[in-house]
Amino acid sequence: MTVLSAGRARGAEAPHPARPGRGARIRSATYYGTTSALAVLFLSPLVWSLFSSVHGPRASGGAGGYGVDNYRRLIEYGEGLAVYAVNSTVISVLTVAGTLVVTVLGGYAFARFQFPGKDLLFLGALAILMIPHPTILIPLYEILRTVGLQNSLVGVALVMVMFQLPFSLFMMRNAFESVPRELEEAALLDGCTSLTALLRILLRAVTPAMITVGLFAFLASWNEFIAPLIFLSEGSKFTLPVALVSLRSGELGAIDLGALQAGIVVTAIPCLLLFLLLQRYYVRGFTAGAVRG
Amino acid sequence: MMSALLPGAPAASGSAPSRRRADPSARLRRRRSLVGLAYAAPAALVVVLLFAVPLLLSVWMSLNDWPLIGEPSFNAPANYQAIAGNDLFLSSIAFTLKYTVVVTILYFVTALGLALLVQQSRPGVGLLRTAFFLPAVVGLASASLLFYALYNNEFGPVDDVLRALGLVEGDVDFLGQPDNAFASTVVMVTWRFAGFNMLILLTGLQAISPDVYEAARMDGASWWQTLRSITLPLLRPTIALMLILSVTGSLLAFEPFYVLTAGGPSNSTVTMVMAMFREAFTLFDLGTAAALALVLLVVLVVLNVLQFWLVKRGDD
Amino acid sequence: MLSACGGGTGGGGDSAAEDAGTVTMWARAATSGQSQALVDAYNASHETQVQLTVVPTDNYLQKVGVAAGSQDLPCLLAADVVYVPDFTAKNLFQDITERVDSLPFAEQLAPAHMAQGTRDGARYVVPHTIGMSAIFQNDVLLQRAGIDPAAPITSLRQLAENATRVAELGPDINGLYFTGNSGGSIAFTHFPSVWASGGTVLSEDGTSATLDDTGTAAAFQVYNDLFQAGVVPDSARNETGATRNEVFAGGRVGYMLASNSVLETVTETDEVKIGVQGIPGVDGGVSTFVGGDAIGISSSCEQPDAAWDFLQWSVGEEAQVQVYAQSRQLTVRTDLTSNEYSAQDPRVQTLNELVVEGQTPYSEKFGQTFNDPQGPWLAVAREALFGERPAAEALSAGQDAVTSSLAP
Repeated sequence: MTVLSAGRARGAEAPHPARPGRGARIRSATYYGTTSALAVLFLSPLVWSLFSSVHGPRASGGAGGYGVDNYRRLIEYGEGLAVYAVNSTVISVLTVAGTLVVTVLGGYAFARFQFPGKDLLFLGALAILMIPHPTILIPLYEILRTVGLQNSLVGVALVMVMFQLPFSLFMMRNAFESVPRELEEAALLDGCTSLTALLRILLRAVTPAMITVGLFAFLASWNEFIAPLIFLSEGSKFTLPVALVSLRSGELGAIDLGALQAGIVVTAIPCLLLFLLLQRYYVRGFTAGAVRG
Repeated sequence: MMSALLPGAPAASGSAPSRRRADPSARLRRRRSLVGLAYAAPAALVVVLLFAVPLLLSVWMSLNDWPLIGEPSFNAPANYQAIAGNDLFLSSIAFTLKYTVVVTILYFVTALGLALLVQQSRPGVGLLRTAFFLPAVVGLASASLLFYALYNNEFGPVDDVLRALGLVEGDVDFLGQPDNAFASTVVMVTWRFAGFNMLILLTGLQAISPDVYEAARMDGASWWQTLRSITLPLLRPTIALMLILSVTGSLLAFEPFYVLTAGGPSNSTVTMVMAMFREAFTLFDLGTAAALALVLLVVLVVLNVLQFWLVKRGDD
Repeated sequence: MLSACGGGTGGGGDSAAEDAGTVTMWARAATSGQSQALVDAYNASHETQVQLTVVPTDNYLQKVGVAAGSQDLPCLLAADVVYVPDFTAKNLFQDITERVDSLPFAEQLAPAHMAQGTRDGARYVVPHTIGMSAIFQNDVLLQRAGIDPAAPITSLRQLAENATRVAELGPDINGLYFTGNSGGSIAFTHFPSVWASGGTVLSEDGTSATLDDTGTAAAFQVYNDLFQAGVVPDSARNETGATRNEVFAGGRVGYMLASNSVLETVTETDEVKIGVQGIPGVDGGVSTFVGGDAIGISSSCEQPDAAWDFLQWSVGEEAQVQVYAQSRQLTVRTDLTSNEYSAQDPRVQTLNELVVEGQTPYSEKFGQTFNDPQGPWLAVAREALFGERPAAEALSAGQDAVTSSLAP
């Protein structure tokens, strides 16, 4: 598979096979020069955030210079950082799992089956993208309350699955559609049912898309602020973003910038690790990989 | 409409015949349709229970004078009629459209550029991808606050950097002038979403079979020709997804302006959702807010159907 | 003794005693430090436990709005005092007139707060925390400019003079700083100058504006002149409050108009020593905006007795002195402003004395008119503070818009 992706890369990037020599070296230098400059541009706000989180009077307890006071305040704040992190993790894991189950099955249905109401359902799912979140939260609150899911992490996760549905369904449908039908038909001829074909063969082919969908579901639910704020009414159930906003907001719009920066760093770390961990999976070419590999 | 969004030519041409082959009899077709329905059932449940039902409730709200507390009273179509006199909302429409057009073009150009830059495996490319994507892991509200601090003249470094580079003189009023406030916000969201959109396009790029590129290379196609006649057409469904996300997300923009400019200066950067949010959570007029939201929804659905149709037409 | 409410913790022989095990409470994050301290002290000494949930400040209205619509409010609901008339009009609180009147110190509860929570003669809240506006000065810079930090500022004109001298210390030194891009903040920090100058901003019943008042214009004109002269920096115009404390902590601001929370959030360093002054009128006088939070028993509360027990305790002498005053917070009772701790920090003493001079503007539409960034006040105020035409013109031009927003 590595050979394959290298081949594709050459085909996509360089119209003529790269010949080692001065031309290639200059091209390579230009490439790394440009991309490094871009990378610095993209990273610098975050680096500044990291720097400000450990520097300044709020970080060092008044003396100026460096210190970890911002992080200390964050860890001790309210119910404690650990409680909020656990709540956030529960909501995120439930959201990722829920989103994957719903959209893998749904994407498969949309890509491979004809059924009544298909277009309507797809449009309905896409329409979720188009409603301003703040409006629908009020009726949603009523509905969750009716089924006893108010003030519940599960309720928040369900709402997050709903918000993720349009993007994820679209993504999974595209992924299933780009898998050659021969792959599945061969399995069906071998006596697989559509479900076993899905589980045993197709899932492997759509893994990169699943990882992208899962990653985006994680990012969305991990960073979500309004839904947990509205649906949860007990401090011990609040999530990291809600607690961080509380920690940093002072009277009359004052913001504790030290706490803000430390909060950005702390919430970003799990996302960063996850991205680094997963990126090799979705980067793998999957169509060709599944057929030949 | 569905075929419009099929990922690529090979799959599109393969789908129609195989569908016929798979349905030898009406009974089998019915059975297959039931199986499809079963797979779609969880998604349908989510759409109906968590979206359609609340949406219907919103529709009902929009037909009533719906105070925070106390009995609502039917007053249709007063909430809709009142939109014509809602100056804040009306003036927010043009601003939101301008923002959407600017941002969508910027998103597309930056995302495609970045995706092409990091598409191939080279040493260090993983680091680059991570660098470009990292801003997306910061929540939008936090990102907005981060830039608020960056833009601050007393405290943030941006104006110092620009001065050091000789690009500006004196203090830069990043958020105090309407045009500057708009540009500053656009820069922030581009930073925040470029990597996110890059990732979407990258997923699409990875799905293009290397054989196609190989063939183009054999034919001696230039880089530009390959991009224009192979990459972009095959990326169409992914680009469609990105455009839908970008157009819809920008028309519904809230946090960037809510946090960074608070709609200022002088209400010059108020988006449609901000105007609606004010009705719902400052004035607690839930009926009016619901009416505004539904008008927005209808506009967005029409726009997106139009967008689908355009993509489809380009397909044929 | 209170006979009406069954005596809180000990009493209540009925089944409600079990329900009274925990009482829920919401408070906004900005003042949660004080709320938490009170709740902790109460829980440590009482069987009934108060369970406090801290809600992000900027989203408090959202949270309350959604919960109120479904009658899901917590038992104890604290709120920014300027929202109390609105909440009371919307029936979010239970009538606690009898309970309040039974308190021996009912008359000593911060009068500005009590007025906000009184409607048609019925009382709905008691004060919870006091936040007030004042001038915070960096004594280090003042000394460098040759100003005696201890000398009181007697008029707005003198403040202008001093601030100008501080600004002359260097191009990166600012004479006066304030939150110039938040309507609520401008009301909080600039209305006192109006009041001390003998002007008004609202009619008595809070249903119309009186911005065309000459005292109002005179006060705003002094600030406008300072901005035009560069003593107030450009960045103040865009300050939404987010970076205000950081800027002051940076040590390059001579005077800042802000709330007493500066004393807790800004740490003193070699470059920053904080002094406190009252906000003066143009030619003399002094005033303050008495803000902070008031608290009531919500209309959804089913354990009003247990909830009242906490409220009654929270305004009692023990809580006010041993919890608030000891941690250098302002007490909510006028009879407790001089206590064993207030003498330790003269700045707190100054603030305590100022509260008596202060006001809280009353209007059911205060939030949507003054605090809301899309409300009419912000644009008018910024024009008056930073515009190139005279403040009087900007204020009278905005008079109608503000009045129509205030109208019932």
